[in-house]
Amino acid sequence: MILNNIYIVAAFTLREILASPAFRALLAATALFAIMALAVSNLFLLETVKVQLDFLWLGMSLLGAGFSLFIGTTLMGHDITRGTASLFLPHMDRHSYLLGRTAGLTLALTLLLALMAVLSTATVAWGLEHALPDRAAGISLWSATIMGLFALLQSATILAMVLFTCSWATGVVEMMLFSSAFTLMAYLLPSVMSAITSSEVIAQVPAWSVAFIHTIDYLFPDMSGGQVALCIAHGLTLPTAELGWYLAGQCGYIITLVAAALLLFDRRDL
Amino acid sequence: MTLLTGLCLYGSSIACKPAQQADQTTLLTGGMPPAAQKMLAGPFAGSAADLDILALFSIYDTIRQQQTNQTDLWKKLNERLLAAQTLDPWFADTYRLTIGLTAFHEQGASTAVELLSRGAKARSWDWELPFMAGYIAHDFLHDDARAYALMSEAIKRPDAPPLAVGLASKFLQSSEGTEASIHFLNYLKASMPAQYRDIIDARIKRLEKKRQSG
Repeated sequence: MILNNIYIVAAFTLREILASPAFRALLAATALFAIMALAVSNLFLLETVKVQLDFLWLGMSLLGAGFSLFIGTTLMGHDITRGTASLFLPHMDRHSYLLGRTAGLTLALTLLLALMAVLSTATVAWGLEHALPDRAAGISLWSATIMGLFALLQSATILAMVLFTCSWATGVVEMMLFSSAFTLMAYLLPSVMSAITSSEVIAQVPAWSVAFIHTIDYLFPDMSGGQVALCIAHGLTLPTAELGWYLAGQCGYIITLVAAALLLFDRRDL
Repeated sequence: MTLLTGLCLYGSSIACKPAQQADQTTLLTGGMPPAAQKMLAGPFAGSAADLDILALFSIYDTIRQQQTNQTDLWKKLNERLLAAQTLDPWFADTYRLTIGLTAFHEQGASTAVELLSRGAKARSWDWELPFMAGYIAHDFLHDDARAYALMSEAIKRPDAPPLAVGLASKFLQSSEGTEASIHFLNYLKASMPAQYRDIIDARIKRLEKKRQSG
């Protein structure tokens, strides 16, 4: 019964997203990012495929974040504030509703990034065909697909943050504001941490403030997938141990945040 | 209607202000410090480095068109190269432009050696960067001790040309003397594949002849 309800909500969510103009705009934007990657890479001298992969990674990440923040927040916000879904769906418990919405949103996100990965692979294939010899060593047609999987994982983390925020926030504006702020912090914290913990800075900063920043950093997911993307773009070998910790961290964060969202959503007033 | 009026006003303000040419140049050539760029780029460090290189093309174009105040522009060009390297230390285009634009410019040789030396650490498989850094250190900075250190780093890397061996020995000879150069070549010979030893032997013979005659 619960699984059936989850399936009904997921299918409804997917149909709702596919019909929305915002999602169609994001689908069209995949082609724009691929064209932009091709156009910009032509201005460079040697590592043109690397430049393509850089801009494709940027496109994948922005599309994933845009989908989670705009489509995810709007959908959840309208359900919670206006009761939109209750007009079309049978009566069910809150767990089934939230899990169904999560499944539907994840499916639509996967669809969006799969399209982007296909276009990226075509772009890289063209790039490899026209690249200078030895200037695309280590890069293969799979590079864009692997990058797409990393982008999917990071976007799923943002989606989990959106679901968590929507489980307690009131109103679409509040949901979007907090989700955007959390996403921005998650994206910027790894590089800010790296700058703050450099030996020159740490000598000037009091110990308590470093401990405070570390505590905030632990509350947010490790969004340093950009470093992984940079290694892929250069055709370098990915460090296995670090990659393992990164993947485990992301999956753990998604599971924890969705579980917290389910607990909070059960207890909130609607 | 309001939008059209706004667009007309904006368009006319751009068209009627030729005096803003200098501001526009500043906009195209200015940039944040490398550390700040790295912090703000977050997971998009690769694209940010690419944009720095594109900005560098714009700066170089301005240098070519503008006959005065070039020192400031060359400084900005070096800053962009430094930022691109900080963001993406493996990017070969940064180093190719360093060699092509900065290295042979009187105000840029020192920066070029610095950039290429750091690049040599990041691109540990690439012999070209320490080789070029060593050459620039010798030819422009006249620092043969540094040139030798960089050139001997280049010859340890895969596919390094035999020319690097000769240059490394030459730089050591000019900074430390003939005896040190022969000692270095003998040490190098023991660790090199057989096909490289003929060139090293010839160089040792030349130096020994020079030592005996001088």
